[in-house]
Amino acid sequence: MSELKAHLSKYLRAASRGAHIVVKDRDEPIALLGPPRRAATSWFHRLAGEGRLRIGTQGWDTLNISKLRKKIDIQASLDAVREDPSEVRRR
Amino acid sequence: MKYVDASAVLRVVFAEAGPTVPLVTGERVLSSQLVEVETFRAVDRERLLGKLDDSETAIKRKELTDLLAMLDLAPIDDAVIQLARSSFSVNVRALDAIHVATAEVLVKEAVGEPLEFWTHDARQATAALSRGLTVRGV
Repeated sequence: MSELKAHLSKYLRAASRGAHIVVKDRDEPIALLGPPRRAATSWFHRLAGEGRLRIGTQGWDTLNISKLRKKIDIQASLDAVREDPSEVRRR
Repeated sequence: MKYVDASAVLRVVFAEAGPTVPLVTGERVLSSQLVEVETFRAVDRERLLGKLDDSETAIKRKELTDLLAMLDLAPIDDAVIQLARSSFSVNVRALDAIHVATAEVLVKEAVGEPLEFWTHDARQATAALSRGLTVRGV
């Protein structure tokens, strides 16, 4: 703490550049000095910050989907995995 | 913004005919983390049924992984559970209720932004409609 008092300006500059500084009193951590949290710019960034949304890349132009030889019955597939996978177990 | 359920994701990945969710740059597409489980189980099922061979399975798993990484995914948290467990005016399957509840939470958070709920499953669509969501894809 005495080091922080003596060189407060230096540590504040470092914190403003992104450094996180642990302030100790007799080797006991008592505070953390760091940059301010960026204000949420949107509802989804706010939710992400709260751990309530995992933000995806939304990079649709990079998505490549191949064609299949056989047609897949998606409705039957979803009905099975949602309700009764026993038809697969029996095979 | 658009919310997609598992049927909407799988229609893209399996390249099924019919209307698909428009994936437009600049517009967010969201879902529940539940969709990760549902869609990978569906791919596994098709492999076990012999509809996908080893090569196709590997490719589809990769494509599905890529697509899911592009979506914003919401966890099944307390807010979702509270809405999903509340009464619906129609008979609703548990997983359908989780998708609807997740979409409702997102609508509430994204004040003023309209949400389209994309599904190709009639029962899922009914569940979403029963809560006043705008449904597309059926």
